[in-house]
Amino acid sequence: MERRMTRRTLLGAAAATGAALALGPRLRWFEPALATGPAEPAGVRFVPSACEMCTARCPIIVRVRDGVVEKIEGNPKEGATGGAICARGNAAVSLLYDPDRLKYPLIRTGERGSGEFRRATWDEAYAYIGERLTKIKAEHGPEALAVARRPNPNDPFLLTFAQAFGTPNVFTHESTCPQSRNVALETTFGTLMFHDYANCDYLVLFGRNHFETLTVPQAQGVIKAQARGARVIYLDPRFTPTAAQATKHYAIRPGTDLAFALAMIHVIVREKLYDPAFVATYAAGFDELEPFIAPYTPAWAAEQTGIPAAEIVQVARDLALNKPRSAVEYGWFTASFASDFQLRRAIAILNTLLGNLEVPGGTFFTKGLAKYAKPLGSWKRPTPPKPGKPRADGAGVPGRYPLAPVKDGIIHHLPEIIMTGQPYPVKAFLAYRFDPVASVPDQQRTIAAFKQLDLLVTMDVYLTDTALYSDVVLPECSFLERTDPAFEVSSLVPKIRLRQQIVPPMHDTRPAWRVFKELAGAAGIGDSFGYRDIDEVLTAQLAPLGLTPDDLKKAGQWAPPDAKPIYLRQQNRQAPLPLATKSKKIDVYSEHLHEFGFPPLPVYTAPPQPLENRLYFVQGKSAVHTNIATQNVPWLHELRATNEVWLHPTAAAARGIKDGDLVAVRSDRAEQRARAKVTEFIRPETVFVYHGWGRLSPGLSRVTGKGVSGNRLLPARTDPISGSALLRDTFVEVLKV
Amino acid sequence: MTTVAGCSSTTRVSAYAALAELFAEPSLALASQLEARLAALAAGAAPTTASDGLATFCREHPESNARLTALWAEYIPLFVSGRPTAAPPYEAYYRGSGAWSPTVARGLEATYRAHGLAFNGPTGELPDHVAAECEFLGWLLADPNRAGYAPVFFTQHLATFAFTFLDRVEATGRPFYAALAVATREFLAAEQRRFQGGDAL
Repeated sequence: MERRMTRRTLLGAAAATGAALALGPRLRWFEPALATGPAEPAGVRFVPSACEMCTARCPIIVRVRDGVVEKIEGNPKEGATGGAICARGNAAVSLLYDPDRLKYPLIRTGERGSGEFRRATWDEAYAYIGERLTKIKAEHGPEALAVARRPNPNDPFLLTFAQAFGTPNVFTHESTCPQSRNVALETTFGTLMFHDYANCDYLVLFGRNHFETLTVPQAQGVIKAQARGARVIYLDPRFTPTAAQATKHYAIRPGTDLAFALAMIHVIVREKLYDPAFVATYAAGFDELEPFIAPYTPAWAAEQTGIPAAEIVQVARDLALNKPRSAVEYGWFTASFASDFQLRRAIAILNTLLGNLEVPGGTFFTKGLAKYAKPLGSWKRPTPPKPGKPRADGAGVPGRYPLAPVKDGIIHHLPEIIMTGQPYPVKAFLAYRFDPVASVPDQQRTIAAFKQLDLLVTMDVYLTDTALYSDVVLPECSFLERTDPAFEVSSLVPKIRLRQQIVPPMHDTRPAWRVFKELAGAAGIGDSFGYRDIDEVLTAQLAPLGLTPDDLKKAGQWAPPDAKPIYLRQQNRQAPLPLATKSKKIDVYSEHLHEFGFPPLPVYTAPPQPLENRLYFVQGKSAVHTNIATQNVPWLHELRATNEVWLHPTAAAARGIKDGDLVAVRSDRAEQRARAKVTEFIRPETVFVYHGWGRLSPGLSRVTGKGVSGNRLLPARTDPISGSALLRDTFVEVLKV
Repeated sequence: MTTVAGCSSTTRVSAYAALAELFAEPSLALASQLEARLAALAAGAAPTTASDGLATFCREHPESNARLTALWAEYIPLFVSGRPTAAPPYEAYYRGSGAWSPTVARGLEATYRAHGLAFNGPTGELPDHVAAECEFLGWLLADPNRAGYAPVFFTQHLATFAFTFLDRVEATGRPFYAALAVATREFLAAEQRRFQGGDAL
């Protein structure tokens, strides 16, 4: 007869075992095995999910053996990635099991930055934050809270928290990354634009280092194009992996990319190589362009860029002759020189002249889910109060930064606002997986400002540099331990994807959906978080599409049945385009810019020139790290443990520096030290370092104190049009130590 | 209880139980009974110079709350993840070339379960924590029916990392934990000799 285990027999067995345990020493770390249920069944399982090691969110398959994550691979069903992932995705296993991870909530006990914390329970941490937020709101108003994050699928939780609290001061990192590009595209097309790399025949890249500043889908697209014989023209003061793969590399003088772009426009207009039908149908202001572009000749551009005029002419002609399957790339990390906004505008004009919008191999508008099927739903929440004051940083505010995106703000202005209390006091800051101490220029000023706050809260996986100065540190689960809301990854085809929990959370960590719900309760705004758990959020999201959370969990992603790439002009070259400018045209000449007192056409401004003995300071990304986020991840740290200071042999010899020497890099702001890398792969007037080192927090035990922090060397300067930080127009001295 | 190599099994069980508390996160209970726990550990091995350091620490921090604060001040930078972990207290850390190896921890959970215990440490703690392994060893030694596995567990787990771990703790020079590391090493070295001599009980 089958013997069934009932609750009574289970408890009886547990009690018996407990009695046996009582015979030995009192146990603090163990309990009877029967009381806790079985461990995960043995065996191997493969779970689809989405990577979080960079912003690309590639689809992945996670291999789990006996409850342990063994390996992460690309999802072979995803055509855009070809089933590949990068080193960062592979290395997420080592992040999951990194002993450096935050294990439980911390409350500061010493001076800010001292690193002295005590362990706290979640309830203690919530109560601490809730009490202080309530007090700050009562004394200074809800706008005294600022929040920031790197855009991610958990945005709805942070944004709901901020909206319910009543603050307009929501920031992203965009002003220190692609904001000049985004605003230029919004100004010209009324929306962002993307590239059909795989089908392109001729691609010009202004510093877009596809094979190092890596997102797998884009790099795969370029690889596919090159395999078909496409030509890639790459301009960068440094010889990068992309330069090595390019058809032609031009080591352009720093800050002069706009001159090259304007000269290409000059050639294409003068030689009438543009698509006249496209321009006539879709463009506004071409008549103003012709006289404007006349002085920007290839000979003039040659003087600016250091690239021969004949080469510029040839690239312009080749670009035009390959239209419409040719394009100039809009860029990625574009917070560089004061001219960058106008460079992106010039690129938009070039693509307009090529008539490459919405045809294979050109550029396209995102084919979002809302236009094809139905938009994702959301959990029910009350309508938030309208903020009583405009943004403190002036983003979207007439007379200040009217074109800077309200949804992103100008994060590098936050320290000044905190320190001056202008235009009104900001007393609390919540950083969700965002580290402004490490990523915002003028680090000393950021630290000084954060020391003045009444409340600084960080939620992250590591004790970041910002966490080091925080009052409360909240440990979030890694992405392999939690389920996030579903998110759109639409491009030419509408698509949604899910990041789902693979293994239970380690340590006393919690997912964002739970933390913000619980924190909202402590701050008196819990009504806005009426969901029970993440499955309820997913159910509400997927209901309009007729899907359930289980449907999405099985495949990891979903596209409408029979979805195919959509090019709006493939069949009808006069088809209407979803241009969202006031003119409903492509604003070659921008009345919108003119209204705000900005140049309506991309006027050239020469970059500042270095004084004697000084060099342009240029930062860039490594293929194995994401911005400042992954330097401490064990396997990635093994691949690149620090940064070196790249110097041309001429510049090195003039300073008595040899390869491997310890050098000091000195700006008006600070001095940093690292080893010199003497190489011909960089221009003589330029010094380069990889971004993300020189970290302060001892919680990042592998990287603390290693290498150069570019953001400590840089001042916080701002492009008045886009609100973008200017991260490449600073000069440094390099000295042998 | 029998006595082996000059040390009764009761003494050894008590010493392991003391280590399970001493290397766990500091609590008011530990702070108030610190002398007793140290005495239990000291009984398991010959006195060392570490005893002076530990006694000095207790003398300099007579009041329990102040003593607790002093213990935390040393504990966090030494052992807590997300801080400068000078000496991570996890077996897997030392067997995973600096990374936390889930396979080791999972294996330990299975071992505990095979002996009737489920790991249920402080919230967020891991099954290969040195304190957990010490407690498990003490529990094994407390019952002759279980004690036969103690040498195996000691050799295959605790001894594989504890000495390196203790060296790292000692090297930090932290007043309490560096001295505790020396005393613990003395005890574990004595245990190693006992186990190698074929002694469980």
